[in-house]
Amino acid sequence: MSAPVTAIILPGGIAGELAATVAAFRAEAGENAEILALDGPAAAGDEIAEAGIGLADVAEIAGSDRLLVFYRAGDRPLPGALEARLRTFAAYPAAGLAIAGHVIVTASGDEVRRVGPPPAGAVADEILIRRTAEAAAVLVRAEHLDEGHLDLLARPFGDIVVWSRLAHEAGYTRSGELAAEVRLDPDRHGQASEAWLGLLLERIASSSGPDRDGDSGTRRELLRRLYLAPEDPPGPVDLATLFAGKLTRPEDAAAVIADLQWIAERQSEALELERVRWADGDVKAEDLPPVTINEEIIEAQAKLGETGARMAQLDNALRRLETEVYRRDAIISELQNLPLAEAHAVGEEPDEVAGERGTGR
Amino acid sequence: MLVVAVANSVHTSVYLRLLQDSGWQVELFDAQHGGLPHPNIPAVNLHTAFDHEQRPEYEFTIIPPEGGSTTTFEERSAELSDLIDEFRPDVIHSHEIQHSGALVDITRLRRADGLPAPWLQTCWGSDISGYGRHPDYVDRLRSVLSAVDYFGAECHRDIALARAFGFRGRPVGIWPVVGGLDIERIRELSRPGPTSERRAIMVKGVVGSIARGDVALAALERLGGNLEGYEVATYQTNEALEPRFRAAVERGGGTYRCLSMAAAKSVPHDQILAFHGRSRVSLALNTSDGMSTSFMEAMAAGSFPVHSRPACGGEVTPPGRGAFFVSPTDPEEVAAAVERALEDDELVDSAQAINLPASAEHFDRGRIRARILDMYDRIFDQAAIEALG
Repeated sequence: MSAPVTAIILPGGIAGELAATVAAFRAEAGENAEILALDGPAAAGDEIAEAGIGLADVAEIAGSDRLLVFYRAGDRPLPGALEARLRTFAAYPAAGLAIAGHVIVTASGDEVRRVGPPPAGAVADEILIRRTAEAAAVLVRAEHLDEGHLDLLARPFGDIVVWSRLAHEAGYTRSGELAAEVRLDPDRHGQASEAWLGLLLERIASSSGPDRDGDSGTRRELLRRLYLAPEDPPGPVDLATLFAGKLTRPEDAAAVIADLQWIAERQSEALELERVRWADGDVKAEDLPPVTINEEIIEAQAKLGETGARMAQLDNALRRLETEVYRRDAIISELQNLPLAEAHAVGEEPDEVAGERGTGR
Repeated sequence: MLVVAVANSVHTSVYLRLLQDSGWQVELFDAQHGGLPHPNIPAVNLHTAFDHEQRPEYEFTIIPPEGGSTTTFEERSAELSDLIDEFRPDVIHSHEIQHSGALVDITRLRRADGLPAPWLQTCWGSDISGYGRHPDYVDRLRSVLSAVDYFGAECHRDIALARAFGFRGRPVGIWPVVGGLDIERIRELSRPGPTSERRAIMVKGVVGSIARGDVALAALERLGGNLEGYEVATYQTNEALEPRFRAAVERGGGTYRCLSMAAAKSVPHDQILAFHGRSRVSLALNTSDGMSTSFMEAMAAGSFPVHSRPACGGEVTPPGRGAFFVSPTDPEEVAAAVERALEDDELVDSAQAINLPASAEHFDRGRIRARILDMYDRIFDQAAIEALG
C-alpha cells in the first residue's frame, strides 16, 4: 500500500454485512489500517461494536492530512483497485477528491451494471445531477473537509452533495478503475421516491446564504415532486425548516419565495388543465385545431422525401440501362464492323433475327 | 436501449447525439412509414420502413425490413415486435406520441406477454396540448398514456395533461425535447452589453397549420414608424410573405434581411443564433407549442421574447417581466407587446438579467444530458429491483 488510508464507514447500507466489508477493506489496506464509523441516524451501532470499530471524531478528521475512503455496509472493494486508485490520486495532489467507477451487484453477487467514473469534463453540478458517484468509489483528502461536510456524510443522502461540493471547491480527478462492488439497494437506487427526494432534501437543507448556481433548480425540482407530480414522500416535509438557511436575509428569502410562487402557479395551471373535458368532446369550436395539423404535414413531407428517393433510384436504374445498351452497341459495332448507329439498330432487333445474323444464315 | 422515433426529425438526431459515449447501445426504429432519415443521426442501427440508400456521409447504418417495405402501422408493429425479441432492450423509449408512442402501443397490444422492458414515453410540444383537443386523437392518447411506465415532457403543463389523459406511471423529468442548447456557443455569438442597446428584431416568418408568421407580419405592419432605425430579420420565411415583410419593414423606416426560407433544406443555425444575440426582441407565434426552440434561443441570447401564449415559456421566466406571452391570432395584441418592448429599456434589460441565468439553468445541454443519463440508469436499476422482487 503506497499511502496510509483511513476507511470511514457511512451509516446505512445492508444490515449484517459490515463485518464482510471491513474484512474486504483490511485485505486491501492491511490489518492495521485505520477504520472509523460515522455516527448518524442510520448507523448500525451493534454491528459497529461487534466489528471493533471506533466512532469517528469529526473534529479530529476534518482538516487533517488523512486520505479517506468510504464504505457502506455491504460494499466490497475489488482486489487491487485501492492501490491503483491511490496511485492515480497521488498524481493530482491539488485535487480534493478522486472518483472511480463501481459495479452494482445483487445480493447473490450477480452483476447488474457497471458504472464508470464521471465522463471527462463533467462539472461538479453534473456529479450531483447524475448521482452515480458511489461512496465506495471516492477518495478524499481530509484537509478539504470541514465538520459540516462530515455531518452531511452521516446522513443517508448527503454523500453526493459532499462530493459535488468538494469537486466544485477543491477540484476532482477521475480514476479509471472499478473500485468496489456495491449492493443494489432499493432505498438508494432505482426510481424510489426516497432515492430522489432524499438527495434533494439534503442538498436544499444544507444550503444557506445567497443562491448558488443550481439552487433554484433543485428547489423547483423538489417542489414539483412534492406538489405537482406527487412522489409519496417518506414523511411530511417541513418547508420552514428545510429553507431555514435561506430565510435569514430578505434578499435570500426572496429567491425561495419566488420558487414557492412558481410552484403555486404551476399547481394552479395543473388544476385548471385537469378539469379539461377535451376527451369527451367538450371543446370550444375555436379551440379545435385545423384538420391539417403537424402529423399530416410530417406525413406529407415524408411521402415527398420518399417519392424523391424513389425517383432518384429509378433515374439511377435508367442510367445503368443506358450504359448497358451503349456497351452492347459498342460490342456489336466492333464484332460486326458497323457504325454505332447501325449497331444500335441491330441490337434493337428481336433475338431470333439477331441470332440468324450472328450465325451468318 | 430501443428508441422508437421519427427518423427524419432534427429533434431525433439532436437527442440521439446526447446519448453518444454514454455506454448505452442504441437501436433506432423509425416510427414513420417513410421519409428519408435525418442526415445528422449519429452512429446507430436505424431500422427503416423502406430500403433507403446507405450514403457515405451517414454515420448510421440503415437496416431495411426483411420482407420488403412495411408501410402500415400493423406491418411496422410486427417488425418492431420482432426487433424487441431479437434485441431484448433494457428500456424502450418512444419519442412523441402520435407516431412513435402509438406504434409501441400497438406492438404492446399485439404481444401476448406485453412489452418485456420498461416503456418510457416523452412528448413533443403539441402532442397532448394540441392533439388532445381533437376527438380523433383522444383514444390514441388515452391508450398510450395509460400504458406507459414512465413519462417525460417539455413542461409541467404536459405532466398535468398526461395525468388527465390516464397516465399513472412515474414522471421522470422536464426538459426540452431537442435536448437543450449549447449555452456557451450562444453566449459567444451574442452581443455583449444590455439588451436595450440592441437595434435589431428577429421574427419567425413561417406560416402553417400551427405557425402564424402571417400574424407576425400583420403586427409589424401595425408598428409603422416604430421600426425606424431597426434591422428586422425573418427566418423560416414563408416565400409568399417575404416581399410583404420587406415592404412592411422598409415602410416603417427599418432595414430588412431574410435569413432563411421556410422551404430551405438546411438552416444557417449559427447565423440565426447570432441574430437572436443582437436582437432586442424575438417574435415567434404558434397556435400550439411546448418549450419552443425559438423561445429558448431568444432567452439564452438575451433577446426579449414575444411569444405565443399556449407555449410553456411562462414556466421558466415570469410572464410580463421576462417575456410577453400573446395571442398568436391577434396582431393588435402582438404589435402592442413588441412596441412596449421596443420602448421600455428597463423592461428588456431586467428581462435579460432574469433570462440569462434561467436559460443556463433550464436549457443547458450538459445538465440535460446528465439528467437524461441518470433517468435511464434509474429506470434500468428499478427494473432490476422489481425483477428481484
